[in-house]
Parts: sequence; structure tokens; C-alpha cells
Amino acid sequence: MVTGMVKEVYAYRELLAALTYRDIRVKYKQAVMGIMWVFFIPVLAISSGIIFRLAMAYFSGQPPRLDDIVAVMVKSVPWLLFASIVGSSSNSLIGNMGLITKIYFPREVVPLSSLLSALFDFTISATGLLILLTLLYTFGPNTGEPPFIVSVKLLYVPVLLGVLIVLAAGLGLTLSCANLFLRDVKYLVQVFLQFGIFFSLVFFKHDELGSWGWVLLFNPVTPLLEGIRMLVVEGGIEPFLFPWLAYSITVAVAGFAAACVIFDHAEYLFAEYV
Amino acid sequence: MSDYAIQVDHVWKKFRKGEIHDSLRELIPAMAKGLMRRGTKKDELANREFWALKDVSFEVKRGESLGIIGPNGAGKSTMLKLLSRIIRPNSGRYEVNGRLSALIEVGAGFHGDLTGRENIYLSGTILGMKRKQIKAKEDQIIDFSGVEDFIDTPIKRYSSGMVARLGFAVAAHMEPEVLLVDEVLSVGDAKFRQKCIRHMHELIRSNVSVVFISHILDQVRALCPKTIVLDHGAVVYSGETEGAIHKYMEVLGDDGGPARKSNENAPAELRDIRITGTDRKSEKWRVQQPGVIECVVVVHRPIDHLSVLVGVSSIGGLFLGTANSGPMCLEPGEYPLRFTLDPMPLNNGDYTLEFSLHEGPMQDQTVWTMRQPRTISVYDGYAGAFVRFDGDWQTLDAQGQPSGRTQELYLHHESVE
Repeated sequence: MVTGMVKEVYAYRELLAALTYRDIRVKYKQAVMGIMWVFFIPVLAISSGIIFRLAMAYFSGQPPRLDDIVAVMVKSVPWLLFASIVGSSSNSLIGNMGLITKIYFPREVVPLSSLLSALFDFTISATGLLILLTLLYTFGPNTGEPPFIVSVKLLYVPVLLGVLIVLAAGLGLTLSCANLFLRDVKYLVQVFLQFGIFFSLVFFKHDELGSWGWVLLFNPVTPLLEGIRMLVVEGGIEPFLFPWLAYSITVAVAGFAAACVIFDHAEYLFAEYV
Repeated sequence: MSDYAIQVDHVWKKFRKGEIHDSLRELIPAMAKGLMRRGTKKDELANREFWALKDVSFEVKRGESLGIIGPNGAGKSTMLKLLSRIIRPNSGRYEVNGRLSALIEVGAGFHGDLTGRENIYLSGTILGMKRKQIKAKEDQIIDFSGVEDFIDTPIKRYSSGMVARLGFAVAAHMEPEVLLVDEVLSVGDAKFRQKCIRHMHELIRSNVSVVFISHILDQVRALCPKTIVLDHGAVVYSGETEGAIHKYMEVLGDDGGPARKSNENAPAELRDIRITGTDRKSEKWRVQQPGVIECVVVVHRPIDHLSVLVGVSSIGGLFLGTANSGPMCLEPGEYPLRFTLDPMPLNNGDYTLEFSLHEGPMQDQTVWTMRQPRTISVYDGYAGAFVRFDGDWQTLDAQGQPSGRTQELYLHHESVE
């Protein structure tokens, strides 16, 4: 079944490309800031994270640490990728209803094109972040210890990002179906994504919330973001996180597989149940 | 490979009326049912369900075109959506051999913020063309659409006619083997519509099989030698297009619903309407022969100005004119009338006649209307135009005075030979 899906999507790859191109083009065409728009949301998210860190530093009576701020940066950008994949793909089928009721094509193409256009945004903002971090590393204030550690282990970051994308894709596929049948799903998704930034520990470390902080690791996004933070800031993943990462990977893969099954079964109902 | 482009074999499709699954409570059992669909009987109607297609079968040979007509809600579009794989049948099988394109809506996938050119690529891709194919045909498409001056303008600034033309132009330049067309040829102005029909003819000539849905019966007649009539989801006629059109009119008559005006307590009414040729037997009119309408006016109370009006329309709905008896002063009783239309001004085709009675010196009060219009076929003339203009053609001499008739020149020509 999955191979069937892959084959069909491959056969319609030009459509996938065209829809992705449309999403990107329409998004940036009339924006005054043009492509700068991509940086707008990450900058906002990172700034609010920095405010949190400053407040925490103030209350703890210690000076704000640069590596904490780097941690906020490297967790915010992947979180925004996750949020924008889930948010846009869960609305994608509804948004393309006109097509779905009129023309046949593999329906997976629609949420997938949302995913790809979210990835496009991410690539640009991640590149921006990379440049910023390089500048920080080279010209940053010399506080004795570097704000993050450059090592071969950084190559694990894309792996964790990959898991995050699979997780988001599974969720997006499922929600895009659910959204067609139950219109209130859209609002639920909005609310969850709005507050999810706290439940995914984007601004904090797992051990900053006291003895119950680990509960948040049950959110499969949290271990992935924590992993990325540890790889960048601490130079390696703490061993205790490994089972949690395994948990995230399992949830991501199983969730994606389940999403494909659900999508495959619900797909032919889309046009009539709208 | 099969000789048939499309084979539809006893297809059933049901839909549900009313709201569907608006709460989780309803959805979850339904999804569970859907997952183990094989366990439930597909051919049973549950609560609020109805058959949108009932045991539909038909075939289309390669290079053949088939019309589908029927009243609104008969299942025509459902059939096309089925063929184009947008929805699935509950039971029955169908097969489409060849690359299929469906024109269910013009401008499918158009986005208002993109320019005409960008939309050509987007819509073309959605319809299943490859980028290369579109590139090769880009100029042709733009030319066909006739919007070249605005091709780099976002289409949200187009008029709706321009959008429709561009949409059809894209769709028309696909290279399908089987083409499904649903009611899209009614876009644009008359000239563009003719262009579309010509294009469809070319496609059919190049061995494309076409399934064509339209309410514009003249288009169906022009494109399809064979037609099926759907009514309430079932095929009620399958065969020659002429017969299909008659069946269609019959079907429309069956459930015509309430008359436009209640005939209750009407001071007068029409009965025994007969429409015949001059021989008073055939129920067809022949071109250039008189047509006869007979009826009986039954008057219930004295009326000063009563007139009979017969409105003539093409079967496609174009109003052509009325035959008016002029006002009559009538006492209660029965008055047989005959109206002779001489010579017949109509050309080949089917026409509807609507009978009504009017009162008042200005004939401005409708007192009685016939529930269902009658239909009449006209034959033996030229197809493709509604009205004949019969008159005198004369030749003129140097002073501009009539010197003879055009027929004489023809006779002269023959005698020379």
C-alpha cells in the first residue's frame, strides 16, 4: 500500500512541484517584505525566548548565558518548522476543496505540497540561523567558554530534524483528513500549536522545571528538540535521553504509517463528504 | 486492447441526504465501519441514503462520442465524477481504456494571485499535462484563449469570461484519449462557444472518445450521434440522440411540478390540443408545409377579451415568438379553434409550444396556462438554424425595377446546359 502511494505520488511529482510552487509564490508575491517574511516569525519566536531567558536569569540572580540563548535559537526554528507543517497541511485539503471535488489526483499530493513549502521556508530561516551562529562563534563576546560546540556530532542534527519532519507529516496527514469531516479540528490545531511552544520545552531545558519536568518528554517533539539542543550546546546527547529519542522515533514512524493507512481509506470519501 | 474506450457495467452509487458527520460521536463508528467495509453490505440503503446512480450501464467505443442528458439531479455529474475516479461506486464495475481527461470545471486550480501564464502551467499540471507539453503548447493556448494582452496580469483582475476562456483553452489543449466534458461549453460569448464546438469536433475526428454532458440540446445534437437519458439515477433511454431528446422532454414533463399559475377557478381553459401536419394525422411538422394546431376553448363565464397565445421556443430554451388568436368575445360554452401556420417558418429540430389564455384588451391578464409545454418536431429542412426566411428574390434592371425572379436565372442556366 505504501509503495502504491509512493508510486502514485511519484507519477504526479510535477503536480506536487506545481502546487508547492504555487503556495510559495502566492505567499511571497504580494508581501511588502518579500522573502524577508520568512525571518519574521523566527525572529519573533527567538526574541520571546530571549525575554524568557532574561527573566529567568534575573530571578536566579545570575547573568544571562549566551549558550541558553543559542539553545532558544536552535530549538525555535525546528519548532516553527513542525508547527508550520502541521498547521498548513492540516488545512490543505479544505483549502483545495475546489480541486478535490473536480479533478482526480492522489490526494496525498495536497498535504505534501504544504509540507514542502514549509520546508522551503525552513531552509531559508535555517540558513539565516546558521550564518548568525557562525558570526556569533567567530566574532561573539569572549566569555571564556564558547556558546556552542562544533563537532562531528552536529551531523546528527539533520537526523533528528528528519524524525521531526516525519512526525509532523504523519500528524498533518491525519489532521488534514479529520479536518474535512470535523470542521472544529482546525481550531483545535490552532490552539495546540499556539501553546505547544511551551509544552515542547522550546524556551527551557528539561531539568529546569523541577522534578516533574520529564513528564513533558512524553510529548514526542520535546526529546527531539532537547536532542538538538544537547548536540549543539553541549556537544553530545546525554545518555538518559536515548530511550526518549527512541520513543520519539517510534511515535513518528508508527504515526506516519497509521496516517498513511487512514489517509488511504478516507481518501475516496473526500469528494463526497465535504 | 479493447475496442471500447469506456465500459460501465451495472454501476450503483448512493449518497446521503442532510448533514454528514459533524461530530466525533458520529465519525468514529463510521470510520470503523469504513475500515472493515467488506463486512457490511454495500447495496443496502441506510437511513437517509438514496441512489444517485441505479444500475447504470453503457459503453463508448473508441472515437465515438456519447451525450448524457437528463433533468437536474439525474446523476449526470455523478457519473462523470465516477469515471474520472473522483468518487467510487458502491457496486458495479467500470473501465476506462486510455488516458483520461475530465473537463468538469473550467479553470480548475486557477489561483487569483497568479498571472494568466502561471495559471496555464498550474492548471495544465493539475489536469495531468507535463511541463514540457505545456511549454510546447503555451502559445497555442494563449492564442486560443484570446487573452494575450493580459497574459501576464494576475487573473483576479480578469473578467469571469476571460477566466473561463483561459480555463477552457488550457483544458482543450490536453492530449486525452478519453475526454469527459461536463457543461463547460456554455462559457464565453457565442463566437468562443462555436470555437469550442469546432475544437471538440476536431478531437472526435482524431479518434478521441468523448462523453458530453450538456443542457444545451443543440450542442448535444451537434456533437453526439448517440445519447443516453438519465432520470433519478437510472438510464431511461439509450440510443439515437433524436430519440433521447424526445425522451428527455417526456421526462421533464413527468415531474414538471406545480404550474406557474394556478388554473383553479379560471374563467376559461383549453382542451383537446392537437398539433398536426396538414394531413391532420402526423404529429410532426414539415418544413414549407403548413402546420396545424387545434384546440377547444371551454368558457365558464362570459368574457369580453379572451385570446389564445401559443409561445414557441427552441428545445434549448430560446424563445422564438408567439402565435396570437387576437381577442374574442365569448359566452360560456365550447369553441373549437384551428390555427394554421402557413408557411412553416421553423427549420429542422424540436420545439416546445406553450399554450395560455389571456384576458383584457391588452391581453395582460393570464387566466390559464398549460401545465406542460407540448413538443413538436420539424423535419425535411435545413438543420442548424431555427427560422427560415422565405421571401421573394427578384432581379433588377438598370432602372432598379424588378425584371424577373432568381429562379428564372437557374432555369436559364439549366437550359443552356
